[in-house]
Amino acid sequence: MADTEKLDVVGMLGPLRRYARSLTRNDARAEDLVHDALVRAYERPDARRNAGNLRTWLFSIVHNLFIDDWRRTGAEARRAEAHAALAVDTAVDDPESRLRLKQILDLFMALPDVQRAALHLVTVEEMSYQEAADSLGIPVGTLMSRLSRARAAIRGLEAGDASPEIRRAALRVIGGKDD
Amino acid sequence: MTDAVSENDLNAYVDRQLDPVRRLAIEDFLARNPQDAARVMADMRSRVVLRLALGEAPGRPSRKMVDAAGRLETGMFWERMVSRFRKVAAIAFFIGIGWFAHDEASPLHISGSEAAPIPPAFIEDALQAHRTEKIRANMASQSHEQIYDREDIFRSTKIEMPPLPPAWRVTDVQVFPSHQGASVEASVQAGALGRVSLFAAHVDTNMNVPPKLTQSGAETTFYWQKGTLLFAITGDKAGRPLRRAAHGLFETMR
Repeated sequence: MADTEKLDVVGMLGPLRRYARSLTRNDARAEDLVHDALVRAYERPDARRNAGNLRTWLFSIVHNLFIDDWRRTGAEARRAEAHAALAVDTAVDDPESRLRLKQILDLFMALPDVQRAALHLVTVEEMSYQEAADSLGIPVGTLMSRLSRARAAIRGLEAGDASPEIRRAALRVIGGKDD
Repeated sequence: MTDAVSENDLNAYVDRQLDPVRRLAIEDFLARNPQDAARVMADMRSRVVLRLALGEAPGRPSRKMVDAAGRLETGMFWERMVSRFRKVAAIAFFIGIGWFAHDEASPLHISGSEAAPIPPAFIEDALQAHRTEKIRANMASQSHEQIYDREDIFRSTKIEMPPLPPAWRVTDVQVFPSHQGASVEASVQAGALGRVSLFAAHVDTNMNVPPKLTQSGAETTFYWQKGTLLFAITGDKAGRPLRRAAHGLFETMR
């Protein structure tokens, strides 16, 4: 880890917690997830020394913990679980916009976990594609593919899909496999 | 525009991860392709919505979580400082607790720095060391080809470093703010002694104490005091040459 890099773990709590919320779709579970991730990070000094970037590293621990442990052991709540208490209502006054907002958020929450994670990192955390891919432990190409699927799902029937020209290009550029 | 616009381009446009030239090219493309423009608009809108809805962290973090974060942060600081202070950790320990108070506990022996309990003052110093950029920026000698500019170091730290034997070559000088003012660590290629570290810091007491020995694992350290300055020289090669060097430095400062 670079010597000059800021070691501000406490300052990273906000971003980690909102990421965990997007993953778990539940505030209380998000808190537990971040706490467990911090404990795991503390218990692994070896991994720490090899970690390149503090932010990417912490995000990857939260993600791995969620995917590997939480989900596998069934600790993660059922998909149907309500994602209560999101700060949607406060942001917008006009009811129609609020509805629209709610719809988009619902679509986001209904995305497969890996797509939700990718979209959150790039959108909310404003990570570069490389950073987001590192946090998820996947190649950039796979990240881009997940991002496209996530956006297409949220777009839904709304704004039509890509023109044939884009489709061709997309096939050529992305083309490869995805999970 | 000759380059084909790809799905990735449109994503990167929405996420603002394109360089300005490519960005212009995409905008040019969108101006001619309303269907794609509408789609990009929709993606941008959902991007804003998600940022609005998910950008705020939920409430305040629990006490438990803040504690866990603080422990991790402190642990990481400590690890970083250990590698930085490895050669002088034992000495820094003395500074943290006032080493003269422990003079009677001779022979002075400090176990490996990892095993040693960390005095709070040292932790704070270690944290401070993280914020050295300002001081270092003011020191002309802080380039990568480090020059042991004693006047320069004195101006920045009020620490008068000893003149070194002509055969010695200083490879690095680091300044750390600490409890009682700045401290200085110089890495030196000291001829037959190999690589040694020379460490200097302010202390409360004012006296002259000739070099004493302390052993920390494979490393040997001689430390002495001159006025209100504490010095330590640490090397991997134990024994007499280092002692002679320490006494030599001590004598030159009289």
